[in-house]
Amino acid sequence: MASFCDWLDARTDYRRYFAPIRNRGVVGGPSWWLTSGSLLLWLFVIELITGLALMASYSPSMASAWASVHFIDQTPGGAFLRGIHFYTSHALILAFLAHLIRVVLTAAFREPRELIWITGLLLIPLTIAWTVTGNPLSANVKGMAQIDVEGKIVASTPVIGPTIQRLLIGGNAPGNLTLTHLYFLHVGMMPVLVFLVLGLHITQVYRHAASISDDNDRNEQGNVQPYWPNQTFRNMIVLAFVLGVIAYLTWRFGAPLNAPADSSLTHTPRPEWYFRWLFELRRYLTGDWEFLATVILPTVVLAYFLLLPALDRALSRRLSAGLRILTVLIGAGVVGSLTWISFARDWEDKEYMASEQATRDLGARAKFLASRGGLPVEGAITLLRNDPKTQGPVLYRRHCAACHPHTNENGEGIVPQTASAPNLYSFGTFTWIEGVLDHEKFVSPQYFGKTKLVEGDMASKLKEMFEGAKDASQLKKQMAAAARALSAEAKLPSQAEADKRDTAQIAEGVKLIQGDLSCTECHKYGEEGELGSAPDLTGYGSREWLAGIISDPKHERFYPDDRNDRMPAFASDPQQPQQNVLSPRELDLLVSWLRGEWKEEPSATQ
Amino acid sequence: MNETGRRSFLKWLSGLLGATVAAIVGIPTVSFAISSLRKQTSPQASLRRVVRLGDLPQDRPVMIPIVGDLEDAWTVYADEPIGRVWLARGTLDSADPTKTPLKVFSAVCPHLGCTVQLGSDGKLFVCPCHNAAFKFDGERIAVCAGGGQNPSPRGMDPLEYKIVQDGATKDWWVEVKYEQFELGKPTITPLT
Repeated sequence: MASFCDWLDARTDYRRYFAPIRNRGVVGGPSWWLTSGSLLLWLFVIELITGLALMASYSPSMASAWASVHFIDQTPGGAFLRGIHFYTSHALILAFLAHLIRVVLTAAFREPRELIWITGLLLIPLTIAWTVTGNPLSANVKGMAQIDVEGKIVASTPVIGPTIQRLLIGGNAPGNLTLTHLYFLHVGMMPVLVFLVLGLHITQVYRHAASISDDNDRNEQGNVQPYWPNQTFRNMIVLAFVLGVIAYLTWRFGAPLNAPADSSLTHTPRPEWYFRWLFELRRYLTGDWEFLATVILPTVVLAYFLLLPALDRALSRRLSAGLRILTVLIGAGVVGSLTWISFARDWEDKEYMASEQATRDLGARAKFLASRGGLPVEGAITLLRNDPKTQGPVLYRRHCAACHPHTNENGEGIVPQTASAPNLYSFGTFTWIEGVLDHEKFVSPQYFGKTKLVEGDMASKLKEMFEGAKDASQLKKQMAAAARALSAEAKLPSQAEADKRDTAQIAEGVKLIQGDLSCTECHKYGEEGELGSAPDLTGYGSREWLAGIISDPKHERFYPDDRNDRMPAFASDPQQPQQNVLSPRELDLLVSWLRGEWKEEPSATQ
Repeated sequence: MNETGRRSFLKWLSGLLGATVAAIVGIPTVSFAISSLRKQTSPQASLRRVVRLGDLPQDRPVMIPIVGDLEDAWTVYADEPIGRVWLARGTLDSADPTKTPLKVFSAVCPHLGCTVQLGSDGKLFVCPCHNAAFKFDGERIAVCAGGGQNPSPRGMDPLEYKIVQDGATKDWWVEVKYEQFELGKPTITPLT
């Protein structure tokens, strides 16, 4: 080994290149203060390694970005790798804060270390910009909303703002070019810039040695100990601890992946935690003053720190120490409390918290759908757009909930302001139909109580039957059989087992509907009865039946002419779907949702 | 402990901590980087309905695409051709169609995976890439179509099939279990 090293050294002279590292000393002995710089460097290296590996499976386009990130999470090691990359980016910013505080407190910016100070300060906005270009890369709803707002903030900078925004977003609205631009910045431009500045920073640190005290004598004349292993040992302890926390967070929570970006999803955008103080400040500076919080203030803060060495020179040692301590205390106090106020406001905001929960639920739903059926060619956006569980309530609220409630037995669900039509929760099931066939329930607000059917033949017929019944329990039994038979017409997935099991009751019900209960005097049912006077009972509640009544309730199969109360026709013209309120796709989604037909995890349906 | 002993202890401890850090980052990185080398969990090959038995010409092989869900990493292309098969049918047995002589081969050449075509004389299967030639019963011919040695290590790969009757229309159909096999080897090994 030794002879091989000699051989290699004779040819490459490598020992000379590595000598500065090997012979590096630490003035005044090892110190925990000095670990923050080393920590930052290693976190950068971790980001570089994990980021390069992630590039192997990432695809920047609106159709494939989310899908490829979800794919990475399914790949062995992928989820953990992405988690490390994600949490390390946050740790980097925290480590920068710690490093900045220690440099300010030890006045490490004094001559001859001006270049270390300037390059170090530059690295902070560069690193933040680096993480900002990374967050939206999965084309998730949160990241894309963030970069949209961030782009607009950049655009509010006079003169150069709009140009920079277009370079960042690639156009007016976030899209494919945003992802390719951000990808270029994140894996190409920003690393080059950061490592150029970082290279200068580190070579300067080697040239002048790190400063550990604001007492210059100690920095210059303290006893020198070897850096390796005396300081390295402390560096490694801090690095291992920080990475341990990162690994724990990754293992426990993983890197988040919100729902695929879709402007039709409701989402309340919020900046990352490191922008929260500016976000909070912006609240107090509205209108033209907003610019102060978003652009001027960060610039002023940066400029103040750049000028700190000059202030330090102008002041006496005692005054400078006071100024530096005050800077740290006031800075940490202001930034910390603004951040806290901003988060606290959101935590108390029920609407925001509900929106956050909804965003999380959508993300979980999208991930579930993607792992169940793969991703369609059209991209991740269609996962939720074609999902009845997601779109059903949206469509119902928009089109049905002006009159129809959709609430379960506890009254939870979609509640209209003034309910004036039947509750469609569990429509077509045995329980629902049994209610229709009860003379009291029929005229209750849960069913037709607030429609003109209260005055109709069905209401009076039911009343007559129940009040004139010789054997009320016998009639109830017959009605139950009829309800069983009718609910089997819908072929609901939730009743598939019951439909198979209760064939005898269903057969009896069919006979009763066509016979003793004389339903077919008004209703058509199978071969019996005729259309025109009351809704068709054939295929009652089936996909086709539901689509029919929603499309056109005045069709002769349902409530022709003035028999219809107030229900509008949502898709009366099948020839020209673009003129209808509901598109064929929306109608399909709504029908599926009303019938409870959607992909669900096995545990959730039990 | 003397100074030298303390230093070597610190060196050892630093090395240990550094190795831990390297492992936390390195293990998932390497495991992710080599994930393409792992065996793919391909969807279970199942019998797919390919063609009506009566639609196949007699004694003249035809190539038919197998349609299924094509998976490409994160994207699923529904109902796309996922492969092609050659079917060679003998005389139809009208008494018991399941006894009709039928040969089903994967159209993938066992040499390097090109799609085997019908030779220009219509009497042999010939691969257009390196002229590997096969008889209609799939047997490898020692000499290539254009002369020279047949580069294919084995005959064409037969596929499992079943002749079934449709319950509703009473038509007889051919169902084929489409599989892919390792290339370049004398023996047939399914790819998993």
